[in-house]
Amino acid sequence: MPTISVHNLNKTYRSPLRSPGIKATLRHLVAPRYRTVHALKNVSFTLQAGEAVGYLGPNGAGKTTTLKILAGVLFPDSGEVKVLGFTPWEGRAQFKKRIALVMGRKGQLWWDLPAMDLFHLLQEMYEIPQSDFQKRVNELAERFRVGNLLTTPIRNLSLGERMKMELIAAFLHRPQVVFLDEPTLGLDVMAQHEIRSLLRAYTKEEGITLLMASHYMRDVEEICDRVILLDEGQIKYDGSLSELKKRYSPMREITATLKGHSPTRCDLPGQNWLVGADGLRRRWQVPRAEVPRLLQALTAQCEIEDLTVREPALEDIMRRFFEKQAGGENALA
Amino acid sequence: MHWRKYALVTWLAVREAASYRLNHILSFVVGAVPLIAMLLLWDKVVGAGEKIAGMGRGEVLTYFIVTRWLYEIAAPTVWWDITSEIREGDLVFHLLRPQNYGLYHFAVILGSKLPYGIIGLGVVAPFALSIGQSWAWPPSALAWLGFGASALLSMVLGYQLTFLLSLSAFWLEETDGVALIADYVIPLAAGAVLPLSLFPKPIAAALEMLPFAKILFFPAQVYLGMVGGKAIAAGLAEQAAWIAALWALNAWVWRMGLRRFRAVGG
Repeated sequence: MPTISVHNLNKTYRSPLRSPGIKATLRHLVAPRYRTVHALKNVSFTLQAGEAVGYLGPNGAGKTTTLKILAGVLFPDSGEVKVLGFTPWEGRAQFKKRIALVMGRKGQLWWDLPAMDLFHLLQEMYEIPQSDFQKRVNELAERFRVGNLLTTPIRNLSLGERMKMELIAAFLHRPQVVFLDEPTLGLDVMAQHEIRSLLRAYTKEEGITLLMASHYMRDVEEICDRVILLDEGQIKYDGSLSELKKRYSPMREITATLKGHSPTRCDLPGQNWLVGADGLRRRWQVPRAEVPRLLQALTAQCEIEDLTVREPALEDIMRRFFEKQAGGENALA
Repeated sequence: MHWRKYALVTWLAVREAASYRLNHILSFVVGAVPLIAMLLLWDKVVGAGEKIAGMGRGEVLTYFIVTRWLYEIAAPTVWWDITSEIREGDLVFHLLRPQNYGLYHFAVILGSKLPYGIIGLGVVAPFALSIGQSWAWPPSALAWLGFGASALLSMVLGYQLTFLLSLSAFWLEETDGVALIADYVIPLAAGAVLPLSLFPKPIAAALEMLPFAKILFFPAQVYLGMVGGKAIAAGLAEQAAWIAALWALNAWVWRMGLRRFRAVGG
């Protein structure tokens, strides 16, 4: 049985339509008008135990809505959801004790108190035995390298340190399923990197089933093996990351810096692959399969100081993917 | 029910309140200014040996000091923590945890009012001393006991109303209006501005039927020994009945609100 199964999930919101101006404001008071937003349309997918899946899509695609429904915080309009055998929104304590939701945008820590105080409270709420609790806090604090900050009021911590405390708070009760919503939002590059490697190592070791929504493709690349792409409430792609890259980025970018005395005429054979030239620097975009042949030709032809072959960033792939979607091309299923 | 977790919430709220102790003391001192004005006024209004609403001068002054203290620990208000959690969606964290949201915030309020109550005693004490000889103590053990019990029930009753008022955030984008009504109308209806017996008879009778009177006016009457054993028992029973009724109402409003919150997306 899959750990998470979602079948034909639908969710609509009603959002008030408000025009500017006094007349419109008065009209809204008397007879408010609403527009229906389809946040999720027939969304279906399953996650097996221990799987780490990235949930990607532009703003407003329905990512957070899905996570909140799966965590039992929101009701869907229709559809069937089972997480660890429970229907999330029934709100059973047994269910709550086995899941966690971490949101990069919000936190559960008390601003004026140290993290340790909240951990104690969570210990009581989740009924974690004292011996296990102490071990758990030490282990997590050591791993996240915040052992010396446990008694510092949250308001005196950096954003990255705060996020680590949020993650410890979420992992304290050993959840089997974790939902992450933009866990690295607003963090600097160093902190992002650190949080990512911690998350990857930790979820793998504990065999946690993870569904993570993010805007940062690096998050997904480093932590997840599979991605689900969502746009306007519908799933557009569900499969491995490598398959996505293969299908949506058939090209590679070759960048070369030529030696000063190299002939100025230095190009790849075949068609015109050049996409940029700046002094001695050249950039070409070539089909993946052609790379070895073209590189050989290039090195035979001119002297090269520096050479890189780059896969387009997942960001570019995503952009291309969603542009194609908007252009009306068929989605991959 | 796992009381330990709520006891811990109370303790954390005490600690959090303690990190703002200067703020608490200041707000109490500033809050005492109208009380000083009120005491000066009533000191002039009630002449020596005169009685007003069945109370002598010392009793009237004591009445205002006691209701002021009760107001600090039990006044129904719009609780900002609840309204902001509902509006900004932080309620999500509470829904994720195995806990009762109403009890959680009762524990928080208890914890943040406790230091208030104690600082409040420290602020009230100089006033009590300033009116010296005429300060009225509860006349009997029964009055002491009744006052203790009714003050406790006041806190619970006040919280039921606070919770109800705060849940309006599920439907209102802005709860300032509700807060304004709560902060101005409730003290009047509860007897903090005037002893209820000074209102015209029909109004006084109507106000006494409302739960607000049970929060300030009733315990103050018990304190001053103005009501006897039977009336104390009846008053305590009424407090308990209001608590039960509001509890049921709150449970229903909470369910409705949650349905809305969960439907609109939080």
